[in-house]
Amino acid sequence: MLATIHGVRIRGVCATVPRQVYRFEDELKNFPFPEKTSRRLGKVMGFREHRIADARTTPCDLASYTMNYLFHRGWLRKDRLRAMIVVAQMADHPVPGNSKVMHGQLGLPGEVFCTDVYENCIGFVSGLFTACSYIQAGMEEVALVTTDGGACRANPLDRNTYPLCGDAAAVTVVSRSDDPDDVLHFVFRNDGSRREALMTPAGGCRMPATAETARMFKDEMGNYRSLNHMYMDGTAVFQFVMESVPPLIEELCRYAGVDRSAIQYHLTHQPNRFMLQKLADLLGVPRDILFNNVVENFGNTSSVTIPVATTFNLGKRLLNERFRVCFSAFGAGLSLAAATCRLGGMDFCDLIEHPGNGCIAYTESRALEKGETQGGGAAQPGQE
Amino acid sequence: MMEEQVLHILKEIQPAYAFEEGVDFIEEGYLDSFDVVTLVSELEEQFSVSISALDIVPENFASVRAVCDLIRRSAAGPR
Repeated sequence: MLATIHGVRIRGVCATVPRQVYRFEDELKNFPFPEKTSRRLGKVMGFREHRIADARTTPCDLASYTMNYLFHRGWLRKDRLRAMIVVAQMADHPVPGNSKVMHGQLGLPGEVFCTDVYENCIGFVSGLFTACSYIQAGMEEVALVTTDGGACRANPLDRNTYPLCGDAAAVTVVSRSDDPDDVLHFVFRNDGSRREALMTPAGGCRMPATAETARMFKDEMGNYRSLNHMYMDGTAVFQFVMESVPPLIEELCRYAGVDRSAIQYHLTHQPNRFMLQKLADLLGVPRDILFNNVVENFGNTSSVTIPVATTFNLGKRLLNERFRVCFSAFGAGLSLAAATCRLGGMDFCDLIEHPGNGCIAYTESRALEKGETQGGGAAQPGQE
Repeated sequence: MMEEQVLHILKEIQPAYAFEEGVDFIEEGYLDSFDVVTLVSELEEQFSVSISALDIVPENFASVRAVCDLIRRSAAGPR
């Protein structure tokens, strides 16, 4: 599916990561492999440290804290907000949906339209398309919330998935614009026949979670997992991405009338460093314009990786500069999504830390800057 | 010479298996996708080649000979 939406701009992005840092080096002893081989794999994949929320902090808490930060700064106003779209794969409760929980947590006016989108790794692009569609339908301003508590579904004994996982939330504010340059082009593709390549088998209606599905077993890779944990056929996913993403971006650029070489930054979903380096090489773009540093600093946060990559790598530059960017994402489904637009001239572009303990009220917490978390300089639990 | 070096790298990654036996390393479960990632990185570093993402498919890692062929192809230039 291809689509174009005129008269919409991304007015700002704010991403929040838990303050709690977990280091791969400390986790090595948990995995059923020699530490030397795990360490070697970690170096290639970018396993260094990741952020996982404490047990009292839910995806809605992370997201509501981010919304309150924006209200506190005056960058978002409850009386201007017309809709809040919450994209997540984990819910605070089976009923009601996350958007209704957040509506209550935030004390939003009754006329704010709140809706939930169940999505995984392509969730940011799907949510952005939904938000842009609402603007086209006549709304002035929409808050796109992406939030993930993916780490709680991973198995701490699984070396192949656990070091990747991270938690985060983001709010992307999408507004009406009169600037003729504010145009977004989208492309989406799905291949449901390959859905088993990335799947959590149990826990839904087809296979309810039971004591039996929770039983741990050693899989063909030598990892311990249960049917309640996420399974990934790494080879199948890798091949899918490498075969599908370059032509997807080519198709998007052709449709948008944008020369591929005009793309200044590729803001891509962040599965691991190796895959992103290979993808950059295959696209024929320098590795430093297709960022690959989110997993090593924060973990793969599913639908929140693109806002984290944007705020961490471009941050304040997006307040005064504008770039032609291409968002692209791929993952469970298997599914693909991409979008291109001019991004910049924003009112805000921040990456902040969540203090933990289920907090939703904004308290002064420091903003993270690029370079601060690299090289072991990350915030420690409890550190201001 | 190249075969010996490849064999050494394979044993470093998965010391438990006898890679000399000539079985299909992928079919027999000697190497999983994460081992392949490590192997690609080691090959690129030790043989100063760049392996295309499109060449990272199971059949190119099924035997020592297949891996050596991949290195030679990769050294010849990008796919």
